[in-house]
Amino acid sequence: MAAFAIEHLTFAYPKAAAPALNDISFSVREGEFFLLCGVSGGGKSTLLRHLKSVLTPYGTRSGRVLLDGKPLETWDARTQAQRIGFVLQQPDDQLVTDKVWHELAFGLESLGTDAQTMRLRVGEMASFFGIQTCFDRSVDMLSGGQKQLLNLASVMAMHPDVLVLDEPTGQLDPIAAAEFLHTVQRLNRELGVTVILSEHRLEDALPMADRAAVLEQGRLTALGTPDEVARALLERGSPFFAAMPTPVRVWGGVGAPGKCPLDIRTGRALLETLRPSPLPATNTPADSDGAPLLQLRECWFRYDRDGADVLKGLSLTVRAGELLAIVGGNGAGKSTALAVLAGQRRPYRGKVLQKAKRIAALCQEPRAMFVKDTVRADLEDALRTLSLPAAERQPRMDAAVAAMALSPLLERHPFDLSGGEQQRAAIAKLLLARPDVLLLDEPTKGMDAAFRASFGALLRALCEQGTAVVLVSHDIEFCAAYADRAALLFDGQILSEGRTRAFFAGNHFYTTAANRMARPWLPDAILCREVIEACRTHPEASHPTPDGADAPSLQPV
Amino acid sequence: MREDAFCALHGALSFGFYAAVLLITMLVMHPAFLLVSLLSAAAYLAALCGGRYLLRQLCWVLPLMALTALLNPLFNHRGMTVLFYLRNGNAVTWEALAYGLAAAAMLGAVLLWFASCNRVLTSDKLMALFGRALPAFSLLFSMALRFVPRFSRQVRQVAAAQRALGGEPPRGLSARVRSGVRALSVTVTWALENAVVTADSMKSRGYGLPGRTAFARQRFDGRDRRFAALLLALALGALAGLLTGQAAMTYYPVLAPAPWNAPGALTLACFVLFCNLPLLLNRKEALTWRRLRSNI
Repeated sequence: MAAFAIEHLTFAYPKAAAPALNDISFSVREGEFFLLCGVSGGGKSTLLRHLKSVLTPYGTRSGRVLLDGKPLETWDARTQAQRIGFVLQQPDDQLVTDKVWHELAFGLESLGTDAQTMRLRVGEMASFFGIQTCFDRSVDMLSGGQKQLLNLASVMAMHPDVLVLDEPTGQLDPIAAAEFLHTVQRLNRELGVTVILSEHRLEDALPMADRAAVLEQGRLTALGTPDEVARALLERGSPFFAAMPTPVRVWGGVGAPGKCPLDIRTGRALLETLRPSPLPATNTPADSDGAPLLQLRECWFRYDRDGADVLKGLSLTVRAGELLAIVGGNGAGKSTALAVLAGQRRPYRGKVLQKAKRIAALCQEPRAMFVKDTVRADLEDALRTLSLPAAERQPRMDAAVAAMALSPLLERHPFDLSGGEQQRAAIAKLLLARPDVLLLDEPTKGMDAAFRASFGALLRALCEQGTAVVLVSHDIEFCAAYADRAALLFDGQILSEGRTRAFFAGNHFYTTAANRMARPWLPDAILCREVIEACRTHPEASHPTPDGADAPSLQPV
Repeated sequence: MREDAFCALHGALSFGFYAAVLLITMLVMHPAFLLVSLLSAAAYLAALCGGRYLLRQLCWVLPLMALTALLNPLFNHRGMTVLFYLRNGNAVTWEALAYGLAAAAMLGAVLLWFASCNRVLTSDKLMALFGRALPAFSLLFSMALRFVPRFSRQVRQVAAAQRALGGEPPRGLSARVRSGVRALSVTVTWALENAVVTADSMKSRGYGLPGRTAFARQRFDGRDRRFAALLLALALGALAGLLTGQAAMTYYPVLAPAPWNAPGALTLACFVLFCNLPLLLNRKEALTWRRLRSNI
């Protein structure tokens, strides 16, 4: 069993102006589930990398990291490799070999385990994780979630005492992410492995944690149980409070009474005491009358002649000035539908009517879009291919840079940016072309809550100007907050389509956390702020907090 | 492709079989032996991958064989029996043609054996073979098998992403070449970045520590031992005959095969059985199944 203790750790990258970590001190007990939160770029990865000598970055450091009371550097490489398991963010890049069985055995091979023990451990881990049926398969055939589980299994086969996970669900869809986090919880509860997890998706992770810490700009601003952390953030009015799960935000918005609810069930218990009544219905905006820019009529598509149909009679209309969100599970065909809309793939049956002059599409992997060494050079290169008059180039670039808040990032290499920053730069590149239709495939992946709000505002501004935006996303909260219409794609067809409120309020499962929490009292509420407002207008909600002063109210979405 | 009985054997045996059959085929020049090797290779390939696959392979193997057979008499003018004279006065002899045909048979046999070797010796088996002796090499092999297809997929992804930016599609050869080179450059950068993450992942799991072992999935069981004994016996028998000159054949100045005698026949019989071991093994398995089923 292992316990980590970090004492006054300060770290600065070489040639950096400010330290990345500033006087960090905390400890993790044996068998504890420790959650590290913070905005992207706040220093979470840097801190976690200090927990293993081979991954520690190069720079100026002061302070100590202790494992079981001894400084980390005194533990030799073999012990560290075996006792500390590390899972990184990218599922695909962590895999080394081409077959599942080889990947599971990789760590054991490196440690020099004999064949009999290896076979036993690999078999044991494969059965625990439920991947014994994929044992023979090639690693390319696995989905993203399965790959990340394979990485976890490969690390666990070495029987570590501590598991350190650096944003492991960043690239996964919500279902795979939930499955992954629940597996980590099982490892913590059933095997007693100490877990140190850094996450920005807190809806699933916060209820599981024993203790949590918030890292903002290299400093620990809150440390304690999730309840204590929520209270500390609320009292300080920290902007990070907007990243907390919906039940916590509702609790904060109504004055923080009693214990902080962390999941839907306890959230409902809180609402039970408040009994909010539905607000008078605002007049719903009329159906948009924008001209249809793209239309798919009964499109059928498959990748090979002998393969299965991916799109089966898909019909979709994209209107000018409208933000359409397409939701659906993995493998439903959302990315394929987007490819057909973009004109990259042609359906073998059905019609694609295109009245838009310019269509720009953001693919799932933003790194595929950058060609130059700095963001500025990349944008200028994109401008060059657009064949614009020279006078118009600079204003367009300034507009795109301002819209996506790229000014501090212009001189950096695109691959040095974090995931969310790369998304922003990629979208800025698309905006340069001033497209009529903007197709976005998972644009909010890796974005933190603060930037998500300004990104949503930007998309709405684009729609006001007449651009049509089609959003394919797993991020239901984002779609509910900003989309005009939503459609559910299942089995290659659009099963249900409609205005956002009617669509999400009508679904039982494919809806926002706010809706799931408040459904018994507010069946039409789909946003967190709607629930808070309904609670506030109710007389019981306006009683003051225990310390006599009204808790500061934040305006989360 | 069907997984047949020969594929289920241990990797070392498959490797040994192919090494031996290729070695003997390449050492021998006697037409009977070469014909046996060629026909066995074709028969096993058909049994393993289907007759249509064999025909597809023959589509490119046969022209190569024909080319080899016909080129030799054009350049080699030794031999006694002249068939006809070329325009420049050189003679095309029957001996040279015979040698060409023998060389063609050897080429065809080697190519067809390699074709079936491709299916039998999978990457798993090769790695199990080299794993114990050269564990680093087997890991490198596995990584190459993963990263090479991935790289080509990424190039396509990058090219598609560049097209989807909404700009003008490149027109003209130089513009297309430029965009292709650009996609390649982006993919290389991307691959290098990914490699940093992979390196981190490998280091974190202890890569580089001394004393690396290799995970062997297949165990060498009793059937493998019996087959190894049979393989060894037949191979040694054939080799012994070859080394004592039972398969000797001279082509120039006249065709002179080795005299037909008992040791020669024995050598040929050993070789025939040896080349058809995979087919015989499959046949035995099929008979076993039929017997088992008739007992139900």
